[in-house]
Amino acid sequence: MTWLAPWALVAGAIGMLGVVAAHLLSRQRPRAVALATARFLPTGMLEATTVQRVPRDRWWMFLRLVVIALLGLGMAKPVLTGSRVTLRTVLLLDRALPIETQQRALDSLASDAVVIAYDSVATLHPSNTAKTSLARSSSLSSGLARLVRVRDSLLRGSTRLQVVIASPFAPNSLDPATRTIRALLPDSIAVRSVVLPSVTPQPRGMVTVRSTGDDPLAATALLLGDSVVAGTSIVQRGAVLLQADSTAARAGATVVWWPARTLTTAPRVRALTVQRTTWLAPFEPVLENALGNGARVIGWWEDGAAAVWLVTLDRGCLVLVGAAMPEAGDHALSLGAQAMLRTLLTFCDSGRARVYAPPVWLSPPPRTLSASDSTASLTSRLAPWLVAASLLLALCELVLRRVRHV
Amino acid sequence: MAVTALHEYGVLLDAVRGVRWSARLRPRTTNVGAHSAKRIGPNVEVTEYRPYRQGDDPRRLDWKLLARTDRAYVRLAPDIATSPTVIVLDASASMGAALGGDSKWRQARMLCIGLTSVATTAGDPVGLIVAHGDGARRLAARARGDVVRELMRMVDSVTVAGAPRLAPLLDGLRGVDRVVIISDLLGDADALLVRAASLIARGVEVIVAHLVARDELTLLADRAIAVDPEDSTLRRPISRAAHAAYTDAFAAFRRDMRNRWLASGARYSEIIDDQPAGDAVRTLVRAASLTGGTRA
Repeated sequence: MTWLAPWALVAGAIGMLGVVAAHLLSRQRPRAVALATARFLPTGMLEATTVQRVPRDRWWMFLRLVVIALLGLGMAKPVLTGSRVTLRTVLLLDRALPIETQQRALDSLASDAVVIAYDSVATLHPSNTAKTSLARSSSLSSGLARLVRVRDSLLRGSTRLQVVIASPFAPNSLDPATRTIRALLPDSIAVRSVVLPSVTPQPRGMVTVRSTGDDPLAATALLLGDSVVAGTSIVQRGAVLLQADSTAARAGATVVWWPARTLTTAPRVRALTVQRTTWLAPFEPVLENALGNGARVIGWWEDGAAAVWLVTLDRGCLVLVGAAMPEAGDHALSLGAQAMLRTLLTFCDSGRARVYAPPVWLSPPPRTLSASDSTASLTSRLAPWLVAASLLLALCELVLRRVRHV
Repeated sequence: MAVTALHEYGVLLDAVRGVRWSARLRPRTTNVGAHSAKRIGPNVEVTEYRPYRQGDDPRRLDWKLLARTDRAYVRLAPDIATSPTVIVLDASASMGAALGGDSKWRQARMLCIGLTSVATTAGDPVGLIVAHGDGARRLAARARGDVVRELMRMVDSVTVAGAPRLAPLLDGLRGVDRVVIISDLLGDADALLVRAASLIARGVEVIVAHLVARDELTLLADRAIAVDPEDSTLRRPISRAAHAAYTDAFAAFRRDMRNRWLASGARYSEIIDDQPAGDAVRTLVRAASLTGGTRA
């Protein structure tokens, strides 16, 4: 048996204690009788409150206790669950986790658990058929949205859901919609602790520079050599992004697109800041927030305007730099330029090997939902009968008291 | 009149049949009655002769004897007179407010009817004054044969209520030889005593039937609030601790009433509500006859 509104049990217990206390506290105002010789009685208190050892009017007290107990039981909505599975585990599995971590999370699941694996999209699997898969980035919103859609169907075979999330909670996995979607779920969400495997040295790859002509940034990129970035890194110097750049990014490469543009006027010196790296050079802003919604600002000019955007694709990312610089000069060969280029090329990796603290609003159920919503798919057949019996007994008490007074 | 009440009255009238109520004082009037007075006076039934003494009424001289023997003798015979009687009946709310119900009022009605029957049997005119919440209802003294029935109807039509004052009702009594006060004396007892003393000084025989309920004596109720029926603001708790104090105070009150009424010259009897009505009537009549007196 389970209770859809267990708070009513507590309220009923408190009410029963109140009834017992009221019967122990005897505030008596005796009945009034007409007595012609009342004047010969001494004056005294007409009523008094006393605490008795034994409750008075025990039959009335018993009747009232039964009334409140039935009412509390009815309001608590008992459900006879029998042998059904009462708890079903749903694992929200972040595909951005390393394969080994994903597998450990899957191995810990019971056979009746289900898995919602998500990266940019979410898929539902039984725990025994879920497969591991690696994604460069993920969206918690997609996983939560999928859970919202399938929650009612998952509850049909159980009384309660246990939602568990296994995720590193990388900043790019959260978006403004995540909290709103989470508020649609009445369940509390447990966060499974994630232990990332020790970082093994990754083979270093060359920084590919695609440019036309004599490009100073190309020389700087070549100076970085293969000691900076892991995997494939591309610095694309061109007027537009190429389809090949996006394809490479989806395949896991980090593509830094720095538009090559001829400056018409002499630029003034500006400061470009990405993370903790600032580069002072004669720049001219370009792009000016003309990118799509998928871009996230990661660099700024000294006046606060956006300068660098990050677009996370399936397994890689695309870094868009909105700054044009003169072709001539040795600015690109400075140490600031090398630091900036190193920061841009390693930006995607910075969020991959870390586990972040989950948002504080993720675990507790939203306050706007009542506890009974967590079992909204269940109905109590006993509750109406219990409440009706309680009301009937209360009516009987009223009638009996009236009859006694008459 | 309810059949039950009529039956009770019938039993009472049977019980008091044969009770004679002699006049305790010399009657002032020369009305011819059916009962003997305690005054030895002229009558057709001569009981004895005695020599004439100065001051005797010359009309009582036996002139024939004087003419035959030349000795002046007066004829002595018991007086036969009537005693106009007025019953003052207290119908205040307190008369119907004992714990056992209206037993005091019931006993008062029975006393009233019983005494009326005794008085009318003796040929005495009987009148009634009922004091209740709406004022006083009066029935002038009369000696008709149906006066008992009239009084029955009158007392049965009265409902006890209010807190009427009895004392003013004694002011207008004229030509009355006997006043019977039936009350629990919980109202204006002091003023009533003063007026009654005034009547007694005028030679009127005053008989007081002090009605007390058995429940007032024993006070069986416990854990209750006693409310004075004539003053709803007077509320006192009834508890076991209060029983002793109550009993003492009530006994002192009754003792005080008895002493003061007797001291005033009235005939006083305490009547309990559960006492058989016939016995109560006899008690009152006997109390009135025990001691003689002379009219002032």
